[in-house]
Order: sequence, then C-alpha cells, then structure tokens
Amino acid sequence: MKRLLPWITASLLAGCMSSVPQMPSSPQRLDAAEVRALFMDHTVESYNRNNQLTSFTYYHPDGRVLQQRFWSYRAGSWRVLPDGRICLKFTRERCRPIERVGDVYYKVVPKKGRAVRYRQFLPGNRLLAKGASWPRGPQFHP
Amino acid sequence: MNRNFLWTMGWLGYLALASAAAWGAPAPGTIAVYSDGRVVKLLENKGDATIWQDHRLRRITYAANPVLPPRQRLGLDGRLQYRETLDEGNPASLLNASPGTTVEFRTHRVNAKGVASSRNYQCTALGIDRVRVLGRDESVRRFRCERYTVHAKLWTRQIKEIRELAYSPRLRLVVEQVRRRPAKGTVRERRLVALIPPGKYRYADLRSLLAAQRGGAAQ
Repeated sequence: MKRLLPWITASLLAGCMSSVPQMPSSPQRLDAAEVRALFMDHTVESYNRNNQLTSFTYYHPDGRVLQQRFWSYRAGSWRVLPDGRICLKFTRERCRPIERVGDVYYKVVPKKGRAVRYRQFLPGNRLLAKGASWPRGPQFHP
Repeated sequence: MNRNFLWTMGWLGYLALASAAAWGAPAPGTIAVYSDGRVVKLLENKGDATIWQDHRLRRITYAANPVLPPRQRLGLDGRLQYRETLDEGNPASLLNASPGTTVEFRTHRVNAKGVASSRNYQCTALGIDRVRVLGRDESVRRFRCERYTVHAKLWTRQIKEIRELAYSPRLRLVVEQVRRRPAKGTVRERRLVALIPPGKYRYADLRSLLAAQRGGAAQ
C-alpha cells in the first residue's frame, strides 16, 4: 500500500490540475482558410482601439467590400493572401494578419499591435437593405 | 492642430448653433453627439417614443419621459438585447411637478437571455434651470433618479445607480447626464455637444469632433 500511495496521490493531483481554469491562451495567427471562413459573406463589427471608433464591414464573396462608419459608407475590395493576411483596399491596399486570443479576434497593425478588435461576425450583408444596389462610387450616404 | 481640423471644428460649431436655434425637436436623420463619445442617429418619432440608432447600429427605443429607462434595445442582428416596461407607478406625473416632488415606480425587464427581473426607481424633480447647450442658454428640467434593490430579509435599500439629468423640453432631449454606480465606483458624465441635421455631416468631421472631445488630436 505504501508503494502505491505516491502513485495514487500523483494521479489525484493530475485529476485536480485538469480542472484548474486555463490561463489566457497565447495569440494564434489565423491561416488563409480560417480568415476566409471568418470574414467571407459576413458583416463584421470592428473596434479600433487607438481612435476608439467602431466600423461595420461587409465582405462580399466576390471580393467587393462595403464599410459603414457613422452612417457613412465606402466601397472597396478585399482578398486573403496565402500567408493568411487579409487585404482591404479603399484608396490604398493594406494587408494585415488576424490573431485569435481566446475567443476574441484581432487585426494586427505594425507598431500598434492588436489595434483592431472584432466584436461580432454576423452572417450575410446587414448594411444594405434587401434589393438595394451596391454603391458605384467610393462614398455615399443612403 | 492643423487647418483642416480647425475648419472642421468651426463648421460643426456653426452647424450645432444653427440647428439648435432653428429647431425644436430633432427630425429623423439627425445625429446627436455627446461628450463621452456616444453618437446616435434619430430614426423615427413614434407617438410617445423615439427610436434612435447608436454608432454600433443598435436600435434603442426611448420613452418621451426622460426619467424612464430605454424601453428596448435591438442588436444589428435584430435580436432583443433588453426590454424594460413600466409595471407600476406614475412617472409621467413628475414631468411638470414642483421641485422636491418624488415618484416611485417599478419596471419589468427582460434581458437578452429572456431572464425577467423587476427594477425599482425613485425619481425626484429638482426644478427648472438654465444650462448652456450648443452655444445658447437652454431651459431645462432637472431630475434625480435612483435605481435600487430591496434586501430580501433586512428590507434595506441598496442603491444600484444614481442618474442626475437635465432635460430640454424644447429639444426633447437629455442634454446633460451624470450616472453613478456606487457599488462599482464608476461615474459617467455626458453632455450634448452637437446636433447635426440630416445629411449635413461627413465621417471625417465626426471623427475630428470626437477626437477633440477626448482631448486628443484628430486621427
């Protein structure tokens, strides 16, 4: 019995350890497939932690993108690079990696870190009413 | 501080003054900007309620009575985030009451998960005052509201939230508000800094105005 005691103690401790809450998970960079699945045909609410502003962006499956900021809209394009970076182009194209920390997704900006936090991913286009046409110009106010 | 920024501030100042002087209650499409960064757009005047959309595109229904909490909030996905309806009491009697008049009322609240609860309020009319709003002296009515719970065994009141507000009957808007949560130790202050008429704004101008409210440079 004395010989078995350390083993029993060890196995009990191991059992307890597995129920201890996990530490916040380390950042995980998303690959191209994960980024596409997350953004494509979704309306995404993002919060810029630097200027504290919120925007909504719809990522059309055909590569067009529509963004709404304070009820002002702009249209552009988007794509995902093989390394997983997502690119948005309104005037100039910018490509940024996406990271997941726990259940929260971030866009990583050089020198600013996780500058954009994604608040929600809603399926479909929530920015244009059904039947409304896609904007032709770069900006419009519906 | 660059030239564009100054131009923007001047333009928004003019807009705020012009709109406040010309209007009574805001028309649908009007954007209200508050000092704490809150930006809301009026969608609809609906009888005794107004429906606003905030910068997160949530639709919030407010009762015409400023002492009542928002009636409901819907997310962009159309889901109910909360609904709060008057259950007992007559807070309408407070609107034109003399200073010191106190009214108690209770609401029924349902949250996003469908969980129902009751909320107790005690509101006091503090009287008529004048405050500087959007560049002019505005006549306002001041109120103080406490939201509280009652301890099940001791029957003592625990204050959850205190709201002190100044309401402009002309604009039909709360133009100043201080919200305290004693248990959390938080104080949030908010005052109306701009009312922008429908279609008379640009994103860049709003961004500059908000940056100025935060005390930072336009980004």
